[in-house]
Amino acid sequence: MCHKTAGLVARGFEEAGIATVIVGTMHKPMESVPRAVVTRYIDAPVGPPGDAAMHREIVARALHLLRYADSHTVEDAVSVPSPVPEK
Amino acid sequence: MIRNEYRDRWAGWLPQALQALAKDPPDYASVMPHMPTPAPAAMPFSRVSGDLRVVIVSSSGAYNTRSQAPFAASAIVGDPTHRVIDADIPAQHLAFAHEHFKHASAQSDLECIIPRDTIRSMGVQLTPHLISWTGFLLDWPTFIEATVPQIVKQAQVDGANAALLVPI
Repeated sequence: MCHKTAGLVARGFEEAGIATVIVGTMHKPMESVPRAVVTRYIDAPVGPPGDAAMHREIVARALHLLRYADSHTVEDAVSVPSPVPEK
Repeated sequence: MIRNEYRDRWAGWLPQALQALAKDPPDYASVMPHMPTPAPAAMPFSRVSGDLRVVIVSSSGAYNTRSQAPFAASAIVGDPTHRVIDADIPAQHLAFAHEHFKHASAQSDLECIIPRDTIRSMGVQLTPHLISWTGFLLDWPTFIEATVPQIVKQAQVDGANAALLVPI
């Protein structure tokens, strides 16, 4: 439901000329939004608590889409390993 | 009231849905697949010119515990309203009304769902406000007709040219 309503919000922004990117955890609802980064972190889409390197990685991908995507783009970050090796 | 084809379809679905959703526990499975949605239409695609100025928008039901009422997240049809929050609010002054996710990660590190420090650390400007809604809501007509325009207007007033949405 969250991802579907995020799509409604994204539509409002895009119609107003404000570019959007969604960072979420579900692929299917992202098929109809302009830009999205799909991650594997349920309850923490930007990355696990305390993993600042992963937060930067995911946010960087989202900002890249905002700056450079020319059309509908969904970036799959589900299998991205943490830039900081787990101890 | 101006007639609205989508609102009419939704209102036709609501009476039976309310009976199922009022059960304990709510019978989501019998009603959610049949909830009417707006007719599909091509999504516009806006582009950013110049430097990014980003508004963060979260479905977590975040609210300022010192100045704002919680969302009515336990309402049968959810809560279609939104909250506008100072982007510099101390994390300990935030609570999350959305009941369909585990709050522990967000409570221990807000960046998990609202990456304001991360965005700023990358040299990107944020708007002065965050905006939240609560992801479980079934009153889509009100959300579409009233809430989304208010969210967009707030972002425009704050000078956003881009939005980062984080549904949970």
